[in-house]
Amino acid sequence: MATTQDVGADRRAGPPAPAAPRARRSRFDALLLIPALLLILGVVGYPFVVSVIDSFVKVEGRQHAYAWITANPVYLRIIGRTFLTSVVAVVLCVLLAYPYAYVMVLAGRRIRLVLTVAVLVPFWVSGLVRTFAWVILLQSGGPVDRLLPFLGRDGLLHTQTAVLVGLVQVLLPFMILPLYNSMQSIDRRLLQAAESLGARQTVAFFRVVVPLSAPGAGAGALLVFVTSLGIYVLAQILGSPATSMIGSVVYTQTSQLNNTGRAAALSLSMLAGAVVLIGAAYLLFRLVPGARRAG
Amino acid sequence: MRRIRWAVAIVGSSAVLVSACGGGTSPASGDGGSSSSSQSSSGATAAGGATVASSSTPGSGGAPAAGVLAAGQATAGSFSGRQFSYSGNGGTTQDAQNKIFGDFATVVGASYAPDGPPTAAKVKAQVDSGNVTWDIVDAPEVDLAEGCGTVYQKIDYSKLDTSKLSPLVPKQDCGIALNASPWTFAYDTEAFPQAPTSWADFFDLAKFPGKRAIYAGFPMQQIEIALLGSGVDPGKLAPPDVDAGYAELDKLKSDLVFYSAGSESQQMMASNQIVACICWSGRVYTEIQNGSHWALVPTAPPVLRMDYLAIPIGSKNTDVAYAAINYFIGAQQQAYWQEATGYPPMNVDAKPKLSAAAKAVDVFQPPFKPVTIDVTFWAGDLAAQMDKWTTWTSS
Repeated sequence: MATTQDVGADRRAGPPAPAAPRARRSRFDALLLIPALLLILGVVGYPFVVSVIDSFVKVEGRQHAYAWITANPVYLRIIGRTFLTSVVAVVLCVLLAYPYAYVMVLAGRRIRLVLTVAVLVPFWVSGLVRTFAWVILLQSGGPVDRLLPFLGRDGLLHTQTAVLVGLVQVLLPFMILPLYNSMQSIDRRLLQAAESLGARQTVAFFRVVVPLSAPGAGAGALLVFVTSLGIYVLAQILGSPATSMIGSVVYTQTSQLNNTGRAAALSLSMLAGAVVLIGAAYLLFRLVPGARRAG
Repeated sequence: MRRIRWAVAIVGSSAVLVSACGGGTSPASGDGGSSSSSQSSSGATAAGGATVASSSTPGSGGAPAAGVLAAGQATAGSFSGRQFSYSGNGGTTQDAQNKIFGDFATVVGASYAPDGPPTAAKVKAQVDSGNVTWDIVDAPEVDLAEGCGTVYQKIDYSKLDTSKLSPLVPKQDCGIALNASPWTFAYDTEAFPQAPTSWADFFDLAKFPGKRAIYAGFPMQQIEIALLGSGVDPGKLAPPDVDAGYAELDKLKSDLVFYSAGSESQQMMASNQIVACICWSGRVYTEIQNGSHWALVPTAPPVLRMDYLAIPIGSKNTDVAYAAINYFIGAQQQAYWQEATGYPPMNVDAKPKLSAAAKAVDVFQPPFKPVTIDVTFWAGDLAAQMDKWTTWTSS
């Protein structure tokens, strides 16, 4: 994707360096990758291969792992629910993050600092503490229930809504920060140009800012989506078994039942689903006219 | 583009940090980590134990085999320079365990290393790899029965004085009773005009309306409780008729909430989210201590969830482990255990000084009549029963 930023970067790079030093440098660059590669091979690659093998080979309870999954529809339901919950969380994060990040870009230095700190503060508080804070806020008779009694007879706690509220609160910074960064580098004269050519402000926002910041939104969406797939303690505490995510099943299978083959099969099913979904989202993204113009 | 990459890198690494920090926050396993606050009193000195802490009254019950110390005793300096480790579930229960094992280590001159948690998968991984770092572990009843002889050593009872172990706790081949966590009928004393008297009342929404909480983690104990509620005789729970249990639980579906950690059940009791629950007595104990209007139904039999002290196969300090376990089950040590945790003592001679709250949850005393589950049944079919439980709870 050759975005406007890339064009600017090329211009800043100046005349190309002589060929010989560049070749030497790139060999040095490759060497720099070795520690990270070794780490990834050791702590991601090896366990991944073992998991793949386990998921196909291990027989637990006289059953192959994938046969077990198909024999218990509840696990496919939980996998589906996990994906759905994560997709909704991404959508909510995008809707909330766009205006927030836009205000961050437009605001003066001091307000921007306040807004940035407001985004980062949650990172400094333990996730479990924040989750329990939501329990107090959302439970029946709690502040939210008293302010908005029409939301439900027994408060929002233990519902899918409560899970989504918690997820969005935890994951919003992952969406705002990349979005802010990509919006910040948009040349604001483009907006002036759009308006001088007759576009209303809203039109200018949707046809200039949104397409140009789409890569940031994409990065944020990916972070939010993938992180959300793995979160499950939050879903247990704010939700109920009826809103549980696949992570808790994987936890039960490994820690409680020691069925590593089944845990591996569940994880790999999730991974396959995630790859397909992200691939589909990427293709869809390329079909959006604005995004193509930006790319 | 470079800015974006920076942002991604920063956010990514903070994500790793956040998830690393959150990694340990798995829900407490069914029995571990009672948060009941310590009750001090004579605890420190009781468990402190002199070199020779007498425990068994002469002439009562069977004496230990020749050459074996009475439970609760240890010989000064007998393991000088040695070491041993214990893996428990944390919380105030492990605080109390660490105190007792630490005292033992001081007496015999060994060094003691506490650790945890001893999830079944971790213990098995240690045994399978031949690299066993734990000498004693807290093993839940079903895990112990499942791994007896393959993960956990068969106990040589001739090396221990088990003559004073409570007859209420079932013996297992591979472990010595560590804790009985009673799953009790707890209720809000202000919720009903008439106090409930049996498990049948727990399942009677017409007579005792309101939300109930049960544990989300697994079906054991709770299926038995459902059966008791449907009128099954406490002596006829082995093996449990699981489907009949689910049928009874189905009656509550409309008014059921689940807790996935003990702390959650406490929060529900304290903030009037529920009117009754299947709760662990240690949690109810803390609520009563904190002044909540909660009580147990003494005539509804508590169902015990047992934990055992077990020695993994391949432990390098088996001899120290036996001596430590023998010390652990002494009368004074067990009195301290109950004073510190609110959970019942395993030694019949234990004479703890109990507060009113501790007496209210002292389920080994009448009128409580605790019952136990059919461990062989659950151990033999655990994975399939968990599938069933997950299907039922998440529908």
